[in-house]
Amino acid sequence: MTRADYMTILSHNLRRLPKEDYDRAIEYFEEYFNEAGPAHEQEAIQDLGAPEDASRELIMNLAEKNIGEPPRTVRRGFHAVWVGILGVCAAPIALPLLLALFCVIFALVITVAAVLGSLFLTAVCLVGGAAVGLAGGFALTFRTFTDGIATIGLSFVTLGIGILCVYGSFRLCRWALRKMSQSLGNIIKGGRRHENKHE
Amino acid sequence: MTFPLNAPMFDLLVLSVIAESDAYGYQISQIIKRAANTKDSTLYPILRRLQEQHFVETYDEQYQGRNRKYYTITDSGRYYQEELSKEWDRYKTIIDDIVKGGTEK
Repeated sequence: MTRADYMTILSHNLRRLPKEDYDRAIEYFEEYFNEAGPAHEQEAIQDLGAPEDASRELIMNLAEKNIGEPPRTVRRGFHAVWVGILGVCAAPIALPLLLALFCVIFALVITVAAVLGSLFLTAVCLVGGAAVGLAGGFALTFRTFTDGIATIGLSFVTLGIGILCVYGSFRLCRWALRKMSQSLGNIIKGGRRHENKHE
Repeated sequence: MTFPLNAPMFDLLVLSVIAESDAYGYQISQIIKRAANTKDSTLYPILRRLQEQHFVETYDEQYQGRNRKYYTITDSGRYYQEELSKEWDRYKTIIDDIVKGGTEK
């Protein structure tokens, strides 16, 4: 195996990580090889250990990190869940079990996404309805003043509820993503404890 | 080495190395190697985690036309290192006590 082979395997195994995590890891290993120098290339490969092990260790570590640290944004939350799924895939669990686990996790993620999606849509519809109502109410004031005012008032109520729902669904989304990535991290940690016990 | 190192032990070793003076990844792994029978690639996730926990910071420096990422310890890192070091002292004393004929207690 050469340095190039090593880096090819490593980058292949890490390719699904979020870009920042990927870049930093590759940079570290490149620097390691540079420091070791071309003369010690084989020694460096020996010392680093198998690239498959290195990438697995790294992915599982990133996933476990999610247990402690809440994602700051929804985007980061999605990243965390994704890393969690990668971590579960990387964890050394018997294949059939892994498949079943993956199906359950997939179903769970889809369900949560659907619920959150529909909530968000409802919120958007509320806001949209309020906008239409507001326009209609405004037009109505010129014909029957009281009807117009009532419609405008009602639209404002809807708008308020809509905005609250949008905010709420964002909060809920963040929370759900955090819980998901956290439990994925826990699965990996649990699996690893189990593995260590056998050693 | 017969005795495996656990995560806090790695933290203590890495933090102790860079508490002395800033060091780059390869340099740290060469020092840690004396005590660890693990592969050098395990050091990267550890450094990464210490960074996330704000015990360690990095800066880049050019060396012979290439980039070196130096790791430096933060104040909270120093505090954590001291705590771990005290903990290790306590542990070491107890183990020595038992190993060197501690039949009392």
